[in-house]
Amino acid sequence: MGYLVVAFAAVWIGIAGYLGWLALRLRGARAELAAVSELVRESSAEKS
Amino acid sequence: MQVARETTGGVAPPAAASQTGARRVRTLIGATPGERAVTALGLVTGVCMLVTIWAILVAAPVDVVQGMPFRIFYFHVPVAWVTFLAFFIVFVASVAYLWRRDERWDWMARAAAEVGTIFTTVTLITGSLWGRTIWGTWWTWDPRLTTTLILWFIYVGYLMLRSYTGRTASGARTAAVLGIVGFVDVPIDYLSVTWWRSLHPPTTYVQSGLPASAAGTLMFSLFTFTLLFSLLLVLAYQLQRVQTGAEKLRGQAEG
Repeated sequence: MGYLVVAFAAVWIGIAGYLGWLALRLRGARAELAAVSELVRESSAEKS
Repeated sequence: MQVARETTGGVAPPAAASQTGARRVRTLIGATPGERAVTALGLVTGVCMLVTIWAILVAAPVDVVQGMPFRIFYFHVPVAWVTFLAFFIVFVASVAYLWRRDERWDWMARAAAEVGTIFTTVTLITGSLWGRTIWGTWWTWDPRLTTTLILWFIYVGYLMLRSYTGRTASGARTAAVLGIVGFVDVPIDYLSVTWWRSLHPPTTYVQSGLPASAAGTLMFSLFTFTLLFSLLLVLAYQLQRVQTGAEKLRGQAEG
């Protein structure tokens, strides 16, 4: 029974952890994209 | 315009020509037309996961010989199936990338390799736990176990290569070749239990040796883990898309 519990924990903690990490990276990448796009917009506005 | 063309892998829709830079980025951030579909997929996966956990722990019969540890089988097999599916997608996407040179195939290969490596790790851990209870050892150099470990090393190597080469065309080409060559281990891994003398239960055990309730639980678990894999793959693909878009815009801002 102990091994079953450990195996269950390994599966769910592993997959849930990966899902959470993926969501955090996606949020970070979207924030970075928004910041850089703002930078590009400002610099193109200055040029024009 | 250049950014839109690059982030869509060289195929810019005609309407994109009239889009402003900010609008293009909003399209990129605001995500894909299928964002609602992703949310729905997440919800369906969550519900199926709960049903699967209930089926494995409550509904599935207890094996007379192996007892409770046999229940590990109900998620070890689906996770292993998803592993093979992931590396098949890496293979197909790598071939498509080399053929079409469309960056979207490269994102797909990279996303599938990442998710597949996670599932391979889980396969090895759950298999080791089952082996400890049934074989009395955490690890043995059995053909199935060894070829699965080699598979894990191949795709960890693939991800390390991607990390080292960055988002360059030459890096993508090299990784595509590795994704194709690395896939050779998948059929070897699958057939290892029939080609060599192995401790690991054969695939025919799953096909014919299970009572109906156990087979039903296994099939539903297979379906659920495939849904979960699809969800993770979509999110990992979106991550690749957004990261590439950000990197290209950054390059444009600096240059």
